[in-house]
Amino acid sequence: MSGQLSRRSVLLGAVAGGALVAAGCTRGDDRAGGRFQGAAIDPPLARPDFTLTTTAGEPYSFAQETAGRLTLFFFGYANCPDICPIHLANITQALEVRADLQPVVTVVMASVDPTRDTPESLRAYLDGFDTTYVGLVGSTDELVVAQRAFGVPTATAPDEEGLVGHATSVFGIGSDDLVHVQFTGLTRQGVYVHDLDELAAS
Amino acid sequence: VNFWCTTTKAPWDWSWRAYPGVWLLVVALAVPYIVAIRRRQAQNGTVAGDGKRAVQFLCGVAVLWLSFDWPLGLLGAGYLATAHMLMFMLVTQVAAPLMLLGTPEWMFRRITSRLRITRATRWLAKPVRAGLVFNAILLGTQVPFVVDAMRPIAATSFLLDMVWLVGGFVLWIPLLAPAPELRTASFPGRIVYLFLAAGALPLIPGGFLTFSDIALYRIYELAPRVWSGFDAVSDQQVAGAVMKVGSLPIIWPVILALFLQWASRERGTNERAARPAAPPAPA
Repeated sequence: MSGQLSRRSVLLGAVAGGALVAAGCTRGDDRAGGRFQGAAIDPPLARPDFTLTTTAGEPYSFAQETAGRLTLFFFGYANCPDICPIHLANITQALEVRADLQPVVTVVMASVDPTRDTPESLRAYLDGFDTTYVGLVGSTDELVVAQRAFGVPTATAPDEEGLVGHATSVFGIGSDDLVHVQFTGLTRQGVYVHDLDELAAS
Repeated sequence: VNFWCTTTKAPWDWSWRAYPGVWLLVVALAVPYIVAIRRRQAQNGTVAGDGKRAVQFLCGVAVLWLSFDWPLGLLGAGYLATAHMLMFMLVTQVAAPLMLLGTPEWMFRRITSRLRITRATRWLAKPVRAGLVFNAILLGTQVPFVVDAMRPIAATSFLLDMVWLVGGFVLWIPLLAPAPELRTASFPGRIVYLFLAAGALPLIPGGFLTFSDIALYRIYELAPRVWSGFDAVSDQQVAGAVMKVGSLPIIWPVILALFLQWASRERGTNERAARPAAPPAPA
């Protein structure tokens, strides 16, 4: 188990680290006097543009569908044993606390496990958290485009234990269509609650 | 292999893990107890109640084992606040009183004397002090900062569990101390003490856990989920409920038993007082 973990931890750490470097991010928090408690992206990036497919089988142009909306986006997969369900559970709880923001927030998860995540299984997985969450699937090539659009390394294929190494951050995009902040896999509910306010004010 | 259960970020999978420190603790408690009882019996013969006491003590040790070892110990150390709270309840409300009940008076006096805690034990045996110290331990070891800091390291995780055990002894000493002079004499005093110390005061921190709308413990919030759908806040709410009502199945039967003993004693006193004086003997 520890061997598996250390492999996964190294992989995820490398991916997350690469994502930070690739996105040119700096960590901003209250202690540093930043607006966000998550890792602020300074300068903010433009809302990425790519197209994947929804769990209903419809094409989904991310930039067009979410334009002008407060958006939380991340790459994950339904069989993820740790980071993805923690992200989803904490986002869900934060949106319960800030129920007033629910109508203006779009949560989007793009599956990086095209071989196992069918539209139906991804829909069922997301419905376990919230039926309004958008699930996206795509071919390996389409997913590479989407990951490049966010400046994160490409996810690996599932290893022998079925674990996929992938960028673990949730990206927070304001209604100004700029990616302002990213949340790592160890982001607490209180941080989401705080930064949703900041994103709403963007 | 960790010697004690600690926080791990690994997904929970129900695969057994060894925690030798827990086994060492169990052996370190049970073996000297059995050896000491046997030696005493060899010297002085069997004393009535020895067998019952041994069963009580060893059941208390078994409850400690159950609490600290896999799976409950590991779940409590890194996955579920509910398991953490269940451990606290088992240690303080079940294991500690059973171990006190199972300790013969001579052994208790020898242990407190050798550990040089006779005076401290006498000081703590006063209900107000015991209640305050127990609840200070309860609060201090349930504060999110403390739990988040202590659970990830085996040594501090062990320390946290030992503090709970000491807290359990402190709570029950005024009622179950093997040395009779340490027990609270008055039945109403015992009942009020148990109700306030173990039943009423824990309602306050339990309420914070139950009614908080965000997760307070970092380690449980960011732990891989044990059951999908049982999120960190739900887990915390259940933990709060366990803190609030978990002791009730223990303390209310004890309170009832104390009440019945009190009534029985009062009835005996009244009957003796009402009995007519014996007629004077014929000259």
